[in-house]
Amino acid sequence: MVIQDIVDSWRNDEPIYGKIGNCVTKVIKNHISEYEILPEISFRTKELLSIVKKIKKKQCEGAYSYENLKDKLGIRIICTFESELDIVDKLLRDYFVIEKAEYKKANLDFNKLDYQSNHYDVKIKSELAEFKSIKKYFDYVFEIQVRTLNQHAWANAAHKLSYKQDSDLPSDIKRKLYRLLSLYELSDQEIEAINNHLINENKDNINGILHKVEGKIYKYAKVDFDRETTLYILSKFTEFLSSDNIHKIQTEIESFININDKKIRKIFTENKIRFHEIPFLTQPEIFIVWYALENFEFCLTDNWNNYFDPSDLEQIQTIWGKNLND
Amino acid sequence: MAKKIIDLSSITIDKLIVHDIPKHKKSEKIITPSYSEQESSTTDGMRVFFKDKITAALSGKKSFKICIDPKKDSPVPLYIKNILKKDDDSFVSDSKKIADRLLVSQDGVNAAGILLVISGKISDKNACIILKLERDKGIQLELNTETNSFDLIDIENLMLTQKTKIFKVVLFIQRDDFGVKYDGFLTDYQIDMKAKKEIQTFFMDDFLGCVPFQDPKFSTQKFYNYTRTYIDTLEDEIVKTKYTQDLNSYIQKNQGTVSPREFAEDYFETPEDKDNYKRYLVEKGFSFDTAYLKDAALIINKIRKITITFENDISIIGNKGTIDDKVQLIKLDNGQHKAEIISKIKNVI
Repeated sequence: MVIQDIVDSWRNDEPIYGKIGNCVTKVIKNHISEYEILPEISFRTKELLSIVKKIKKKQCEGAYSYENLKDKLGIRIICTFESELDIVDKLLRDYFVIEKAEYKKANLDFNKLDYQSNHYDVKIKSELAEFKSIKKYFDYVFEIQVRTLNQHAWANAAHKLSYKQDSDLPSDIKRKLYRLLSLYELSDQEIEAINNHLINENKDNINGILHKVEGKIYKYAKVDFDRETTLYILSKFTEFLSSDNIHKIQTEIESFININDKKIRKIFTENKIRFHEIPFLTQPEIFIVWYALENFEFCLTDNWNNYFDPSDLEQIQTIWGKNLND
Repeated sequence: MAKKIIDLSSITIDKLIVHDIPKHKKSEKIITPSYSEQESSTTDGMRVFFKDKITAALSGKKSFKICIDPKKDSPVPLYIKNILKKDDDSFVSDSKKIADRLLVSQDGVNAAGILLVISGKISDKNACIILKLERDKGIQLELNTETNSFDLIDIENLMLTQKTKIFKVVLFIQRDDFGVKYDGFLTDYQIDMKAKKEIQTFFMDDFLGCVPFQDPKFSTQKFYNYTRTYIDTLEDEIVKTKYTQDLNSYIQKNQGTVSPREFAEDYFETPEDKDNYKRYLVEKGFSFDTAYLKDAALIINKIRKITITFENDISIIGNKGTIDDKVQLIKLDNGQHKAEIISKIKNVI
């Protein structure tokens, strides 16, 4: 294939891949939040120059054409915790035809350290309603990379250092690199361990409550929240709510949210257009306020004005509504 | 049939139409409403805004259950039934007939108003909502970029603002959809207290052709009895005395409704007492969040006087509002109570 053919093909394909990228990113963002995680998701279409360079380079190793290039569209999903990689894996298998999956970590020997992330060559499952607008591009293959934040940091650094495991570096520099790489891996595991500890061990404090509701805001509002605000508000709650009520929140908040799932979904869908007017709706403590309104309303409302803006509570109460035939 | 929850948060607005009802005297026969000939177009933002206003009004302390009364001569229930059936072809004409009836029901005393008729849903079931709003005026700020100052602009036809309170709103449902024996909920802040003997409002009675779900005599008695029973569960005798007298005072207030929520918010001293009271009423199946039209006929003898009887067989009898002001009750360390009255003995019977 001559370069002009590549240019012509890419001129035709680039907008299509752009459309696919846009749609696929939205679908993943929308559905991954159901698992109560909020990874960073982005896409890029490859630069023409990179396409040409890569094809030329690959052609030096053997037969290779424009059609063989699978990362003309690349989608990147960066997770906070290593365990989220499995969640994303499950979602990708539900929504995409996996042509090839490469789990780089699984392929490493125990005594090897290297770049770790999951790479997938995929096509859309065109029968799914979510992909209706790009249905006709069912045979376009593109790449999805899934990494943790640490793996991403390492990948970026390694790219800048042009590091390759087989490169002929002095052994002291190699040692530095290996030490660094092991730290990234350790860091992922330690962050995971700390998170698990916070979820499982600190059940009766603010962090314990926060861990029970933070994923819910990803799930329903599909946005990130302000942690400082949350911690401030929760700490104030602990000042005026009895330990008995705090314990009730701890033990019942998840089932409360599950029971009211349909109602909560409707509230978030309906009010998405005015999240900026009611920022409280995008904070996980909103679930605690609603729980309190149902279970010990006056312990909340009688103290609210001492700490927070009364109009916020009025708005939250209106949105939550009332059961008229209680 | 199991009761289905009527959840205000689930209201959706499908169609909305507005008619203008002018102020008029009964003698002015030729006046008609200014009708809309088609539904008003609304944005998502407007629908959420209307929903907020409706929810706030219906979840307030003045909302009570109503029933359509076939004995009333208002035709409005017929049109409401059409709207509840989602008869799309007749929505506009039904709403116009509702506007006609409102005009007829109003007399020169009632303010001119805007009638909103909404076809929508609540808890996924068909609902019809009617609001009467009063037209307002306002002044809007507009930045003049040439003079770099604010121009003031008159707004003549202001219908609803963030801060406007809705005085009259009614929500109709179909009984079978929810397994209930009433037809809807009405909030009317302008219940006419002059017609105290038989509490009526032109809006509920003459316009909507409805009556309260429960006979106000019985619902007031139930409210009183449940509240008294709850107060009796409290341990502190002084608190119990205060709340009992508060209840008597509350029922004798010059207002057309009683509301457990209003009573709790206005009189109970601790949030725990309020929450426990709410829980108690919910357990008893007596709605905490709706109001009840008031008629104290069946309890009048109980609320006029309050009697405190001590273990030593001494009693203190007080009239409305007197115990709290004129008898000082103190709890002693040994669990007994000391009552102090400073006054002059009027007579001994």
